[in-house]
Amino acid sequence: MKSVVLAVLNGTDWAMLVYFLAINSSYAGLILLAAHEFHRRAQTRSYAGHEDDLVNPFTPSVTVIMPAYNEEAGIVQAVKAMMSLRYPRLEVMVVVDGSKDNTLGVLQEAFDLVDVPMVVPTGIETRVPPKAVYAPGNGSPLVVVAKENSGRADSLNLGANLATMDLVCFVDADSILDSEALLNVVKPFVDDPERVVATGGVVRAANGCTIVDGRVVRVGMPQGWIARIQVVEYLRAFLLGRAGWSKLQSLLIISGAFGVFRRDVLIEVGGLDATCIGEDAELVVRVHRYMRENGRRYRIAFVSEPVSWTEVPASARVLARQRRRWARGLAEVLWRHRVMMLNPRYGRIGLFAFPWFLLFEFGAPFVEVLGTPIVLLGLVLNVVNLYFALLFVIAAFGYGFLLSLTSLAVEELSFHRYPDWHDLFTAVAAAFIENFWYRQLVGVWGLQGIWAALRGHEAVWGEMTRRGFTKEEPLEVTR
Amino acid sequence: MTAVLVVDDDPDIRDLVAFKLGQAGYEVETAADGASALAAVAASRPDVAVLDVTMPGMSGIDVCRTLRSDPATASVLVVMLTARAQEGDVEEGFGAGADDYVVKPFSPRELVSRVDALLARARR
Amino acid sequence: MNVPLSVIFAAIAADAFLILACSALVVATRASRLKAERRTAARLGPLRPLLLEVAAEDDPEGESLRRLQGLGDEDWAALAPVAIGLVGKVRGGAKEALASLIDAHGSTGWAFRALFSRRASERARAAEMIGSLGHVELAPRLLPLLKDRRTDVRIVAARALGQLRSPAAASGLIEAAVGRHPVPRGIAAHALLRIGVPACPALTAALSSADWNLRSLAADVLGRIGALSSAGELGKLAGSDPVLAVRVSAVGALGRLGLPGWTGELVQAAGRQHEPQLREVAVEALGSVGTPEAAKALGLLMADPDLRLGARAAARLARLGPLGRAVLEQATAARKASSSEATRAATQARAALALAAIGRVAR
Repeated sequence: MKSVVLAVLNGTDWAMLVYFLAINSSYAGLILLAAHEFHRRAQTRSYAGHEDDLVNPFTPSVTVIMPAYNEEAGIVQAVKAMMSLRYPRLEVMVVVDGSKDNTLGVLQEAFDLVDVPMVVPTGIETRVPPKAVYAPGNGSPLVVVAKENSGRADSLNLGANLATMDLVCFVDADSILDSEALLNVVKPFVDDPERVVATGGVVRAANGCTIVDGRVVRVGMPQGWIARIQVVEYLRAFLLGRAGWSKLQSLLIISGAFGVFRRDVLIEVGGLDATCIGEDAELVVRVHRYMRENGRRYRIAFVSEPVSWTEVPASARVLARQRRRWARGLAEVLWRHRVMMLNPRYGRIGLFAFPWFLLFEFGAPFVEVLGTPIVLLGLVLNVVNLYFALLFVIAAFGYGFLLSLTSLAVEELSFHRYPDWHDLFTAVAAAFIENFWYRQLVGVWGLQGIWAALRGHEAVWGEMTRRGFTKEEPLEVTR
Repeated sequence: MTAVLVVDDDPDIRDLVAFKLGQAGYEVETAADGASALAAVAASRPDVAVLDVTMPGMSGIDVCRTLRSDPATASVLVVMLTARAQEGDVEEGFGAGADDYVVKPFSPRELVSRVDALLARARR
Repeated sequence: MNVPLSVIFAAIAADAFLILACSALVVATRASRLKAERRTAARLGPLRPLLLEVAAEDDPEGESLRRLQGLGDEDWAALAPVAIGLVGKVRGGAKEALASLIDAHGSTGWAFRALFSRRASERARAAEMIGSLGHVELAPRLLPLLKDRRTDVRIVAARALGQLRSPAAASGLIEAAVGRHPVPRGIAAHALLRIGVPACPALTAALSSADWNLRSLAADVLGRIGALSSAGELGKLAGSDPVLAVRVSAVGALGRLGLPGWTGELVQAAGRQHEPQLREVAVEALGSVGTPEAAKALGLLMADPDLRLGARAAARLARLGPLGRAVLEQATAARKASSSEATRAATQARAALALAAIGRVAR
C-alpha cells in the first residue's frame, strides 16, 4: 500500500506543480490580454458616440427577450426598466413560460394588455406553441407571449420566432441592465456589420447593490462570504477571463443573462438546444462550428462595458445546484461537439479553446478534489512530508490569490464600480478566503455535475429525437 | 408665478435649461429621473414639464403617459426634449400626449420661446 | 518527492512579491483617482455656473465669457470636458458662445495639430472636437482620417464630417465605406444622410460603381434623403443588379421615395420567385407607395405561405388608411375554410387590425 502511494506521489508532484502553474498562468495571460484591451477601450470611451448611435436610423434594431417563470414579484418593474433602456429601436418581449403564479396577470394589469391574434412565423422548432400573444393597449413596443411550461431555452426560441427586429438580446427576468448597456453591447454589430454574429456582455453580482426602479443606483459588496466571493469570481472569470478569450477570438461562452445574436443567424443554426443543460454555451459553440463548417467569416465578441446585474446564489445549497448544472453543461457541450477537439478544421476554437476547457475547466475539479485525498493519504502513511505539502499548498493558493488581486487591480484601473474603500477591502478578503473552502466546494460540485452528465448520458441522447412543434400548414394562430 | 419642472438625467443639460428658464422668470424645479419627476409633480403641480425622453428607470414618454392618465395632472403642459429625431420617435412622443417636441442639439433660447408660446396658448 | 524545496520557495517568494505589488497598485490607483476627482470638483464648483451663463446666452456684458477665456490651464482642464460636452448638445447662439470660449483656449489649434498625432486617441478626440465646434473649413483635413488604420478613429472622423454637413466630404465618405480599413457602413451612411441633398450627385454617381457595396450604400442613403431624381437609376438596379443586396437596397429606396409610377416594379420584386429579403423590402415599399394597385398586391401577399412576409403585408395595409382597411376587412370576411390561402389572409388581416386598434403601428 505504502509503495503504491509512494509511486503515485512520485509521479504526481511535478505533474501537480506544472498543472497548477499552467492553469494559473494561462489565466494570468487572459487577464493581461483583457487589461490591455480595457486600457485601449478606456481611451476611446470619451468619444464612443452613443448619442450618435441613438439618432442613427442605421443602428440595428433589437428585440429583448425575457423568459419569465414565476416572476410576479418583480416582472413589472423589470419590464419597465427594459423598456426605458437607452436604445433607438427597441422591442421588449416577455415569454411567460407557464408560470404557476400570477406573472401574466400582473403584466396584464400593469400594461393594459390586449389579446392580439398574432401569427407565429416559422423559424426555430419549438416544443409548444404560444397560447396567446398580448400587446399593451397604449401601443408601446411590448409583446407578452403566454405558453405552456417548456423551459427557458424553448421560451427563448419561441421569442426569437416572434421577434421582428434585426437582433435579439437574451436576458433573464431578474437581470438589471445599466441604461447604456444595450448601446454598448450592440456596438460591435455597428462597427463590424459584415462579420459580427453574436456579442456577450458582462454579468456582475447584484447582491449588495442599491436598486431603485429596476436600476442599480449604488454598487456595493453584499453581506455573506458566499456572495462576496462570487463578486470576485465573476470579475476574474466573467469580466477578465471572457474579455481575454474574446481578444483571442475564441469566446466559447456568452452568458444567458446577457447575450445578443443576429436573429437570422440564430434561426439559421436552429436556436437554443432545449435538450442541453448548458444551452447558452452550447449555442455559442454551435455558432462557431456552423460558421467554420460553412467557411463563413464571422466574429463573436465580448463587450466589457455594458453591465447586466444579476442576483447570485447567497446560500451554499442554491450555489451547489447552479455549479453542478454548469459543470454538467460544460461536459455535455464538450462531448456533443467533441469532433472539434484538436481538429484543425475548427481553427483556434478546436486547437486551443477546446483543449483549454477540457484541461482546465473540466479537469480542474478532478485534480483539485482527487489530489487532496491522495496527499492526505500520503501524510497518514508518512510518505509525504507535511512541511513540503504545506509549502506546496501555500504556493498554489498564493498564485490563485494573486490572480484575484490582479483582477481587482484591473477593475480599479478601468471601471472602478465599487465606490467604498470598505468594499475594496472586503473584496480583497473574499479573494483570500476563496482559496480555503470555496474552491474546494466548487470542485466537489463540479465533480457531481460531471458525474450527473455521465449517468444522464442515456437520457440525454434518448431525448435527442425531439418532438418539435412547427407546422407549415395549416396556419398557426395563437387562439 | 409660473412653475416649470425640468427633468433630464444629463446634469449639464438639466442645469442649463433650468438656468435659462429661471432667467426668463419661471420658477424652476429639477429632477434627474422619471420617478422623482412624478413625485415633484405630485408635490408642487408645475404648469409645464420639460422631459428628456431617454432617461434611466422611467422614460420621458412613460412620465408623460402617467401624467396624462391621472386627471389631477393631465393638464400639465409637456415639452419633450430629446436627441431622438426619427419620425417614429416624434410620433411616439405626441402619441403619449406631449404638447411640443424639441430635438437636441437644441437652442436654449428657442426652448424658452416654445415654453412661453405653449403657456400663452393654454391661457387663451 | 522530486520537486526541490527551492522551487517551491521561489514560487512562494514570487507570489508574495507580486501580491504586495498588486495591493499597493490597487490602493495607490484608488487614492490618486479620488484625489484627482476631488480636485476637479473643487475647481469646477465656482466655474460651472459661469459656463451655464455663457451657454444660456445670459451674459450681456460678456463678463463671464471673458473670465472663462482667461482661465489658467488647470482650471480649464477641469472645465473643458463640460464645455466640450455641452457644445455638441446645443445650437444657435449658445453654440457660438461656447465655441468662442473653447477656441480662446487654443483648442482648435490643438485639434488641428492633433489630427496628425501618433496616438490614436488624440486623433479621434481632435476629429470629434472639430465636428462639435462646427469648423466646416477644416472638413478636408478630416478626410485622411477616414482611412486611418484604427477603426475608432475612422468612425469618429466620419461622424464629425456628418456633423459638419460638408458636401465636399461626400465622395470621400462613400469611398471610405469599402477597402481594407473601411468606415462601418451604418456610420458612413448616417454621415451621408446628414449631409443630405448636397451629397446626392456623389451618391448618384456611386450607383454605377463597380463595387456592389457602394451601389447598395448609395441606394440606401438616396432613398432616405428622398432624392426623387435618382428614381430612374434605382429602378434599373432594383430590377437587374446582379447582387441581391443591391436589389434589396434599391427596392427599399424606391419605397422611401414613394413614387406611384414604380408600383409595377415593386409588385414584381415581391413575387414568389425572389429571395425572402427582397420580398420583405418590396412589401415595405408597397406599403409606402400606397397606391390602389399596391394595396391590391399587399392583399394577395397576406396569403403568402411565408408567414413573416404575410404579417408584414397585413401590417403595412393597416397603416394605409381607408384603402388598406378596406382590403383587410374584405379579407376577414372570407368564408372559413374556403381555401387555405383565404384562411391565411383572413388571420393575418385580423391580427393586423387588432394591432392597429391599439395604435401599434409597424415600423
